[in-house]
Amino acid sequence: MKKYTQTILTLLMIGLAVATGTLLVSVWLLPPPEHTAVIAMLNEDMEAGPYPTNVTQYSNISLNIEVYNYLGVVQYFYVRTKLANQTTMANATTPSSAPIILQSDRILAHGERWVIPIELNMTATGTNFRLTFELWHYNPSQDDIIWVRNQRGEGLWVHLPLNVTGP
Amino acid sequence: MVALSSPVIALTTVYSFRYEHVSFQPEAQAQQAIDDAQSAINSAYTDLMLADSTGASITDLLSSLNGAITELNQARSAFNTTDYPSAITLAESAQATADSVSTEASARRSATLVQQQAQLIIIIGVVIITVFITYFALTRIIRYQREKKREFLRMEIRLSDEEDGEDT
Repeated sequence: MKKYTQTILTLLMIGLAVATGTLLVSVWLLPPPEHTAVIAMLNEDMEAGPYPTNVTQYSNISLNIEVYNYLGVVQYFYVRTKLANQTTMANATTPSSAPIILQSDRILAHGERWVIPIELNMTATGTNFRLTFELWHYNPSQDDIIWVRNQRGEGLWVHLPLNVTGP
Repeated sequence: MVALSSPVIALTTVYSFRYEHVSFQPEAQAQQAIDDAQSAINSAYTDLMLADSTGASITDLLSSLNGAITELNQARSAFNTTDYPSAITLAESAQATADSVSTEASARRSATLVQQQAQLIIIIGVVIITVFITYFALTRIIRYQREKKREFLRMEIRLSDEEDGEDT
C-alpha cells in the first residue's frame, strides 16, 4: 500500500511540475507586449500630406495632431507646440529649446486615440522654421511632466518645416 | 431716511477700504485656485492609474477627469484675460471634480483588490480539493483492484486445493 501511495504522489508531483514548466516556458517564449505611444501629424483633411510648408504672413495653418496610447495603462499626455528654428529644433535625445506657444493636455486610456486640431496664425516671417509638436506626459513618481520616449530612448516628436514670407 | 442711509454709507466705506487694500488679491487667489486644481488633477490621475492597473473599470472616471482638465484650461484662459472671478469659479469646479474622481478611483481599486483576493482564495481552494479528491479516488481504485486480485488468487488456491483433494 505504501508503495502505491508513493507512486501516486510521484505521479501527481510530475504532473504538477510538467504543467508549471509548460506555463513558464510559454511565458518566456512569448514576445513581451510593446509598450509605446505614438504622435503623428496630419493635414487639415486628416491625411498624411501634403502639408502647408510655404505660407504667407498672417495666414492660418490648419493641422491635426494624432496621439495614441499603447503604454499599457492610462496616461496623462501633453502635446507641446513650439516654433523652432535650425538651432533650437528637437532631436532624438533633446526636446526643442524653443518656447511653448501652445499646450494641450488630456488623459488617455490604453489603446485610446486623441486628435488635436491645430489652428495657428503665423505672425513671424522667415525660412527654415520647424513647427514642432512634442509628446510629454505627467510622471507621478517624479511629480513632473517628462518627455515621452520610445523603447530605444528616443523622444517622441513631429515637426513641419515651414517658410513664412511677407504678405 | 437718515437712519437708513448711515449703514449704507458705513458699508460703502468698509467696502472701499477693503477694495483699496486688497485689490491685488483676486489675481493671487485665481493663481492659487489654478495651482490647487492642477495638483488635485495630478493626484486624481495617480489614483486613476492605480485603479486601472488593478483592472478596475475607470471609463466614466476618465471622462470626468478630462472634463476637469477642460475646466482648468478654461480657468487659465479666463486668468489670461484678467477675468479672475471666472478663473476662480472654473478652477474650484475642476478641483471638486478631480477630488471626487480621486475618492471614487481609490474605492474602486480597493473593491477590485478584495474581489481579486477572493477569486485567488477560491482558485487555490479548488486546486487543493481537486488534488485531494484525485489522491483519494486513485488510492481507492488501486485498493479495490488489489482486493480483487487477492480474492482471485484466493479463489485459485481454493480451486487448486479442491482439485488436489479430489485426486487423492
